[in-house]
Amino acid sequence: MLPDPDNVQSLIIARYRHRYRVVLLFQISDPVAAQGFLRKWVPDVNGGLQPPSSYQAGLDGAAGTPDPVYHFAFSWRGISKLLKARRSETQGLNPDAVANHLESFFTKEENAPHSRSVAASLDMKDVNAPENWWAEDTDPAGFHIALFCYFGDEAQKKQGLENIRREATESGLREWQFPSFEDKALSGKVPPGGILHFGFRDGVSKVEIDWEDADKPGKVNFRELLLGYPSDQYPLSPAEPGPWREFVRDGTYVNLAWLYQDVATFNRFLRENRGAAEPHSGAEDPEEWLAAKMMGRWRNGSALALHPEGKPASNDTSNKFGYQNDANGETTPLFSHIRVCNPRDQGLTSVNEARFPNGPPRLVRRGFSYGPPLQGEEDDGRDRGLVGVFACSRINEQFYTVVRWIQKTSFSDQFDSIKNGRKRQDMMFGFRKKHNAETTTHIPVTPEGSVPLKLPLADFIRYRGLAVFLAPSLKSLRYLAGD
Amino acid sequence: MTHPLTLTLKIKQDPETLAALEALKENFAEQIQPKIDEALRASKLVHFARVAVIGDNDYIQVITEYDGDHFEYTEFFRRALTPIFAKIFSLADGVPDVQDPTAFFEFSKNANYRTLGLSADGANDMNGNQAGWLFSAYDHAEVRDILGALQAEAAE
Repeated sequence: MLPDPDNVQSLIIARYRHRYRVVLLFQISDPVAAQGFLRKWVPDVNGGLQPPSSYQAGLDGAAGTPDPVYHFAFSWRGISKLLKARRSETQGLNPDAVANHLESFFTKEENAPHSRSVAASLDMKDVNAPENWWAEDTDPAGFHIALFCYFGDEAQKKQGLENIRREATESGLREWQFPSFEDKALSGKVPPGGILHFGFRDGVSKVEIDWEDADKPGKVNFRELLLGYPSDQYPLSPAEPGPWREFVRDGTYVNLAWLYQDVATFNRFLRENRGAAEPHSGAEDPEEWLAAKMMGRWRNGSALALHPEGKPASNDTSNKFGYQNDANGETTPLFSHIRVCNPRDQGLTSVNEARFPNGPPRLVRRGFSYGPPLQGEEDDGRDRGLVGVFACSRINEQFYTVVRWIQKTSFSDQFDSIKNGRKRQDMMFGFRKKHNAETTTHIPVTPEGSVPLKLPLADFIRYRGLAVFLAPSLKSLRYLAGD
Repeated sequence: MTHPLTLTLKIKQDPETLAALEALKENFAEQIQPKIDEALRASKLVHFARVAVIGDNDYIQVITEYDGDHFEYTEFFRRALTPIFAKIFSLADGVPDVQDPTAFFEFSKNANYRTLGLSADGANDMNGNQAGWLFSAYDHAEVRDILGALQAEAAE
């Protein structure tokens, strides 16, 4: 059985042209009224690979301002309320008896991202602790509905948010607001040239889905993303056929991450270590070289693996590369961000090879930059960073695993060849006070045999919030809306 | 960081279960032990492991000391030892389908008993609370650290 892309919300399988993006989070008080709200918006939700105003749709709609686009995802509590409102238990969907049909990292409050158990597992401590997430008085257990909005311009965003908020209020939905954002919601826009706060071009890494289940080289099994099609290699819940499997089929888990970026500290790090980088940076600016080594890509998005000597004059967005000829990370360091988050063909430990027989876990990433840009090394006290949306079919096995790998690089035997290699972290992103962590860079330099660059790392990125939702198929979305 | 696993299951006392228990005991050394040995050796995560039946065939315990996060490797052990876990779990009430990763995860988590005392190395238990005590003579060095040191010593 193959998935039907037209039944999948386009949010995760296409890319929109809209510059303005907002995520609204609502709490349901009256589920029947909430269904009324959903019925107004759900008919316009896009499914399929080429929705209007997407890059995949080609030039149609590329001129002019694109129409707004909306997508929905729900927490387990939100789904439970909506299912009960439509008496779904008569169709075999009793939320109070969901048992093990869905992953407990989705259904159980004790395994929610803000729970003590998961926070400990992911090393969400100190500056990253759930107590410091979201905003004062926010109760993430009340995030029932996540509404992902795409707008073409400021005026459209203003009007769109006004409309949604008015109808939400009339439907008894409470909106969780975040005062550090001008829109009082997680919101941002695609920056000019797609350049994010640390100066890197966004949107280069792409996941191409193998919709035909043909094991095509370079493509990713659709089961990395979509629920409802378990196999031996992807033992997805629900394991048993039945109404729960039908309900989640063509849906995906959406992990929402609010990530603060400390631009001043990152810029200071680059400047302070300019001298250390200079003997190795060749014709490149030493700070650019150091930033590229930490990311695994030049700031224009071109992969170090394809352009080891320097960034090409025009950016190269090719993703056709691996690390088999770079086992020790001389070109793309083992602890660079893109190599930790997706080690590609780098061998994993035998345990991880068994867990991931089709290769390292993959995430489909969407999201946007927020906050004003900052130049220099003086922090202005303004909030800025990324709102990341990471879609996958297994929360613990995929998303949380990658979060753990960022915090502790023990997933590959290759790390055994380096001192404290299994106690290191992603050079861009890690909680540096983690117990026993080795928090310095490890950047091999030439000539071979030279001592790798060892520079003290800081917390350049911090968690400000993490929440898990299910973006249902269009069919199940309509069901939740009461249709 | 090393964690203790003290998986403890109350054995059903019906004749079929007790017969299955006797068969497990009888076949353990020749059929089960080598499979567990192979999987744990390959994992390079588990320091020690043993299986014990205590009381008058009242409980069966799987006791290990392992490295890494509580939630990270459950799925590996399920995949690697599916038939073994099926045999052991079938002795208890509320048996999960070991082919079902969520059911297996929940059953294993709930059957693990916290040790007494308080961890001295910052370890948390599966609920995120300070873990119980686990003595380590080598400061919670990981299996891979120890194997690496032994290999280095052997090479000298």
